[in-house]
Amino acid sequence: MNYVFDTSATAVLLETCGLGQALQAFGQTADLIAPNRVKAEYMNGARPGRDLETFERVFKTVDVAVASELLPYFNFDSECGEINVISYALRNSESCCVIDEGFGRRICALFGLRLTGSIGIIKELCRHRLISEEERRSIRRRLRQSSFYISKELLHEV
Amino acid sequence: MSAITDYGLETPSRAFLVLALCLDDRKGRKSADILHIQKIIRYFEYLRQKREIDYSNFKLGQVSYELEESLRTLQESGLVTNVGTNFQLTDDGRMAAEELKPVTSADDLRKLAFAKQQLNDLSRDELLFFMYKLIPESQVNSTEAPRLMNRSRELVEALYRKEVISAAMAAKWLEMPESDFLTSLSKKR
Repeated sequence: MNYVFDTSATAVLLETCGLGQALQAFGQTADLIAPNRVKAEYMNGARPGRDLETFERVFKTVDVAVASELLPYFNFDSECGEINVISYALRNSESCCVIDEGFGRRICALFGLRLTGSIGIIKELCRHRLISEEERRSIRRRLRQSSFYISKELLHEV
Repeated sequence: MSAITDYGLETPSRAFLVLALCLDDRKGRKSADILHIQKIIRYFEYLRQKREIDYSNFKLGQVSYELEESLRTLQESGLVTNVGTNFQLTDDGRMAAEELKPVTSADDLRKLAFAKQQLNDLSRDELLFFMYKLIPESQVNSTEAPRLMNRSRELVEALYRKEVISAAMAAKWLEMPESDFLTSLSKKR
């Protein structure tokens, strides 16, 4: 099994939740993949918490050829992270997409792809005992105060 | 005896109407009003990148007289009925849909279902705005586009929250960085 990460999930896990170390440990049991387009998006913008060093320690970056059948769903924008994540998963049946946004999740469901989100990854880290119950509570607090948009439903799941 | 040949359902516009009305939207409803039916089938054709139905740019964006005429024919044939402003299949219509499904490609059915789930519960303004942005040339003769473009911010946010568009599309339509769009949404949480 490998996980292929979208940009907002990456930012939530690394910046908002500060889970770089736990993810690195999780990477011993599963491949954590980020398309190069996701890396470029992650580095873009003016967020103070972005951390390329940790990003590179945690994720294996890959070049992805965008699947043409996905283009109409994304209004023919091949540059966004999600289309790259889903394209990768379409060609690699062992992959699980890590996407938080509702629209991207709908496309994954439409194409029958494995899917989780940053909350699912946090749960996996708990399951592997890579974060404690106390850390989990602190993560929930940080997610609530985050400047990133996370739906109420997802917040409830932590 | 076959409903497909009896009612001329080999014609794409009739077949897509019957199929569109047999599929569930996100709330489990099958019925739809004329504007939503028009846009669902146009979005479906956009997704499959294959045009089999004539659409023209009119006051409400791209609409098809061919579809309207086919809908009338289906009503007269007793396959479709209206309840208020919504149209729905009759028992005969549902049987015709069951005949159509196996002769329609799985990919087309999947795309049509997706189009209905994405669009059928949108408000009229959200629906028109989405289609104008998706197919910019459909704004040409529109009487509604200027009014809706003035409400871009509100409508884009609604479409994003309803999971009809991605943050990347939302940001592009609002001409702002994606991270700024997401940050602005979190402040309204």
